[in-house]
Amino acid sequence: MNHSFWKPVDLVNAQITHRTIDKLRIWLRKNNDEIWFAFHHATDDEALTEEPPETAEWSRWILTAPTDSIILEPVMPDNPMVILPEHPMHLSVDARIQFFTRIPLWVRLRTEAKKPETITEIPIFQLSKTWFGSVTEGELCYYSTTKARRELSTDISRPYLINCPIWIENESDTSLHFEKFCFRVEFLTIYESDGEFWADETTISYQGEDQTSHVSMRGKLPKQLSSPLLRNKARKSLPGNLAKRTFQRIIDDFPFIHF
Amino acid sequence: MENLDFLPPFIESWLTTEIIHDSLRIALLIIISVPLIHLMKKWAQAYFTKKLAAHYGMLSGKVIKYLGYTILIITILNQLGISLTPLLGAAGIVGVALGFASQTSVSNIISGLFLIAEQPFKIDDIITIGNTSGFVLSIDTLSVKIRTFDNKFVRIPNESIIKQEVINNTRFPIRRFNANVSVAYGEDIAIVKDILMDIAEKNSFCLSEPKPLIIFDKFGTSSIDLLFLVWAEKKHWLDLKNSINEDVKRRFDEEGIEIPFPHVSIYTGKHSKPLPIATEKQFSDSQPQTIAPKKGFKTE
Repeated sequence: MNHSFWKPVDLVNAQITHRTIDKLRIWLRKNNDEIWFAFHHATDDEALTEEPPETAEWSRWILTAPTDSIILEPVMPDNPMVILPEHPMHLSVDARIQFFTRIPLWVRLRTEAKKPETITEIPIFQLSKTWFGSVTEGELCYYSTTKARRELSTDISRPYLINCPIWIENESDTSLHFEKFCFRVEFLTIYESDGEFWADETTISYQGEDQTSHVSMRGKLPKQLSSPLLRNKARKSLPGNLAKRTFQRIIDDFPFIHF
Repeated sequence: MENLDFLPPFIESWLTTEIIHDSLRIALLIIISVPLIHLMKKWAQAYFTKKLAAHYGMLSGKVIKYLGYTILIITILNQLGISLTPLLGAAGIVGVALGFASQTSVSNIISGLFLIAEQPFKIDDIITIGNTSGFVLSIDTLSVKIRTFDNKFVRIPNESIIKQEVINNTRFPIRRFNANVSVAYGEDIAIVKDILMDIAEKNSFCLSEPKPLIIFDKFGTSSIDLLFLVWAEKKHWLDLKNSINEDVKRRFDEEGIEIPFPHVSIYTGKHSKPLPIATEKQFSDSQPQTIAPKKGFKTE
């Protein structure tokens, strides 16, 4: 990734270094064996300044070994994402579809050492939280809308977005109608190819309304990509067979909460 | 028994080698078993708390404790050569007598068993019983112990919990906060709704799904009353409650939306003009009044 944000940060004692990506600004300072850091997500109408604002809250990190360099590496969000295609989707029995979605990454600050120490993880783009499931059980997710493009496109390439190829196949006896689905990004590996971040392919097999969907990450990138470079491993290793509720149907799942 | 000559003769005759051996055996049994039961209880508590939840840790600890002591007592009685059959018969009679004498305690014990079986709440849940709200510390044989938010210890007998309504505030993973929002009659409700939805979208504790909901509650005496229903994770419910109300106030101030306070308009019988009210000057112009500063308030 050529973007300067992802390059290692060289620290000089008692000097503040800063990095900016989209609306996120990170300040780093080395104080002998301590690393101080602060970050701020600017609002749309806020000017981006190099100096940390007075309200910035500094955190101190005491390392086991002193370091002069901090690595900024891309990581997937720490919760699954609820992906909302712009329009509801319908899949006939035995139909199979591939589309691409872009997800905002997080940045992990770690030391450059044989045994790297993670200092912190910061979302580059602040996503709103949502609940996937019923009001009595479910899971906390981040919320994102997608155009669910059918083809690779680079027109909105951003250094903080990762392209995720997704296959959805309907293996049930009934057609699949859904308006959103839960995308378990914590199992995805991050690659870099042609100056963009890519995740490995995900296949979601719909088994029927009463059954959970089988999710598999193939560990492979689309064939069109040239010389992909591994940038970061998945947050969690995928269990042998991940079967979870994935689709939220067009019918409102919360009919009883209206009052 | 020659070296026991210092003892009175009746004790000396009773203290046979067999009895000494039995006593030593029982003492040894107690010395080994009691710490062992405690160790096993601690281990089970830690294991099940880690694997499942604090509630199951507490339950497993109690099961091991009571089971362990029961086995220990039976073993000791066996060592003493006491048959359990007549004891159980006697226990039945004594039980009936004790039952009459201690109805409340027995009722609490039975209620405790129902509470454990039914599980309306678990350790660390936040519950409300009557006027008391707090964290569940323990569910014991006779009572449930609660720590209130202002750090008071409350003991509630199991029997009274079974009899009354118990609200478990943290049973489900998400909770809704119902904010009452009142706006002046002159405000455009559609604009107010848009602003409220925007506030919900920008609040970091508010969940996008289940979607925030605005309900036209009623035409109030001085205002139009709306219900603004927003959801949060249970651990962030209080944060949401605080922040969303502050957000509404700040945003309404920015947008010039009036939050009315109760007021009464008095008319003189005509529809057009309200009753004119004029205030009189308290002080004459020739004698300007000064207000004495408050104690400790610095003036220049």
